[in-house]
Amino acid sequence: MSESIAGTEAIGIRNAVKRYGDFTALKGVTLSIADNEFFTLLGPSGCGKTTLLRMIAGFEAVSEGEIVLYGERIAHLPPDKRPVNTVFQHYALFPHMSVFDNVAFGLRRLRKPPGEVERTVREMLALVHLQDFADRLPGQLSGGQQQRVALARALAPHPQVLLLDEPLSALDLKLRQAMRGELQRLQRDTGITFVFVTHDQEEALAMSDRIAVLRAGEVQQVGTPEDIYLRPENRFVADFIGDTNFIEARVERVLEGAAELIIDGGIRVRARLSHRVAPGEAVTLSLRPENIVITAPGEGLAEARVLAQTFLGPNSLVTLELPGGTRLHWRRSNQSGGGQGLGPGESVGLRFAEDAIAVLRS
Amino acid sequence: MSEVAVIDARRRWLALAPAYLVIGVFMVIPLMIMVAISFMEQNVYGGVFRVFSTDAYTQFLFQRDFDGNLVFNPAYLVILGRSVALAAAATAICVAVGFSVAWFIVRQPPRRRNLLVFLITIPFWTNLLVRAYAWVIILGRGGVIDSPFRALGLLGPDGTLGLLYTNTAILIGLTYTYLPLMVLPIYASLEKLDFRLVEAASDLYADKWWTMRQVVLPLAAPGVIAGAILVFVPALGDFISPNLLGGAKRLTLGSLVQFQFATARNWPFGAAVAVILLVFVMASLALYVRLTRKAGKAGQP
Repeated sequence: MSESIAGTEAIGIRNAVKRYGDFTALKGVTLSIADNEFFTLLGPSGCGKTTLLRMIAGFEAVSEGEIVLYGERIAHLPPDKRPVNTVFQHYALFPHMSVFDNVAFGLRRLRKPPGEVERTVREMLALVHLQDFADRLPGQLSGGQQQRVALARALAPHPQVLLLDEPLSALDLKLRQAMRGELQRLQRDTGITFVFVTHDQEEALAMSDRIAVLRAGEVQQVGTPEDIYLRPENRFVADFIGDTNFIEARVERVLEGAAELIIDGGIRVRARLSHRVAPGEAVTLSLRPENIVITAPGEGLAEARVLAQTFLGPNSLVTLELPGGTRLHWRRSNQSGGGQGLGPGESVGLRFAEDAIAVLRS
Repeated sequence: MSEVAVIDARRRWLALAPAYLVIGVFMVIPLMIMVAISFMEQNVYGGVFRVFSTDAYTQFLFQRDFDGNLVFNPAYLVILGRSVALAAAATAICVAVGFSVAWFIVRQPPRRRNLLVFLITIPFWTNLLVRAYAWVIILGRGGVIDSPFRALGLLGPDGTLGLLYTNTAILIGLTYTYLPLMVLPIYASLEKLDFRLVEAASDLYADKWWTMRQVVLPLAAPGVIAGAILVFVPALGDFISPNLLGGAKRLTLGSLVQFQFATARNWPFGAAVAVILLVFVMASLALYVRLTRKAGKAGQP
């Protein structure tokens, strides 16, 4: 289901391979990005996400495969012949040109009449709230303002696709969070397809329509933020995005789209299946810490003992131990009136939220 | 002023004294001597008579006819014009060639870059005179350039292309001599260039030429201007290339000065020509300051 695309395809990446000498940065990536989508390439550094973005922009040649932009093959075109624009990680604003000239650069190259250049630049600067800064030089702006000039510059020629290479990574936390909403708004207002590269999973979850998780040059999973977070398909995705508990289990019974499994000490649980398993097979389950529900001792699915508790502000991470020795992290809300803390050694009952356990592909 | 401040000021003077001494002894005093000599009278046996005279400057523009009247004589202005034209042409060629070379070096991997920069400096290891003579042999009758033409029977009865002893030969000599002084400052400014800006330009539909003109050249301008000054100033005063490659017939300001002191024994006139040369150099430096100020205002952060 995660592969299905609504509407037309903006970018199609067909089995793209990138080699640098003996090193293969991308090992046959196939992706389909829909028109008017906020699509994120997410992964740790070195996973190939930036290489993929640079291949779409034209800065890197594909070693194998094809890139299709609204039905046109573009892999052979130089960057200046591709109707896509990039927001660079370190902005790459032209230091000798005013903000106005920076934003006008692409429009002038496309030989737009001066009146239209003027109008579009003013419009773009208004869009990023920098109307009053047209005559400044980039060096006279703060990091956040430079960031917005870079956005305006890349949006001004109204590209078919906007590529964003970790554009928020150089900003401080507060600004970064404010810019998330700003970017989403810009994407909706302009109707341009955004391809966003980041290693920050929170950023990806907050902004994207869909996310592709990459690792070592391969796509691990493609899906909506909910898909990726709630229904991770493999151990890497479950681990990279958010915190999770990995639980070893044995398949007891296979049902329609789900399975009954036995974990630690004979506890019987139900889990969603996104792939085939056979009864008797040993598998790994993923269970998010917030999906454990604590009950009074004896009232839950199983008994557990509290080992430790770490205070994290809005919540605390409590380490529990099942009778068979399996340890689970439980995320406990620190909402006021949420009851007293748990002391180490205390016994509790626990059960799992409905639909909370995913069977991972090995 | 407090006592500490007085001591501080004194200390500063003391610390700067060697610099003032060097500038005074090696620059200000010789220049003053030169200016002074230019306003004295010639002693035809060498040296000068210590009598105030503006004859040397008059001689630059006028000569006396048989009746002793001053008549305008453009001969030295022609030499000045030729010198400026040759120096400017050499500078222009050096900018074009030097920029290409510097760009080529900058685009190499770092290790090869250092090697290439090192190779650029190699000509400085050999005496300039020897290198200039080498050009005499290359350009001269039956030289390296002539011989293939001769072998193909393309040369006339005089058996030479006649390259040597022309303005072209001087230009080749000047360009060859001062090219490294152009490459190095341009290289220095290109090396600091953020090549992500080149990517950004191509992302915004700029082809190579547009990127060069709109992004690379403006940002490399300080290097180009510095290189232009480093080439133009010594090329204007050079006398080795004009003497060896231009022959005795094509005087430039540099060779004129050398001739006045060494052969004609007209020190005041030689000094006057040197002062005129100096004024030209100062004027071009003033232009440089204005240009860089403008570039500074457009400013890189």
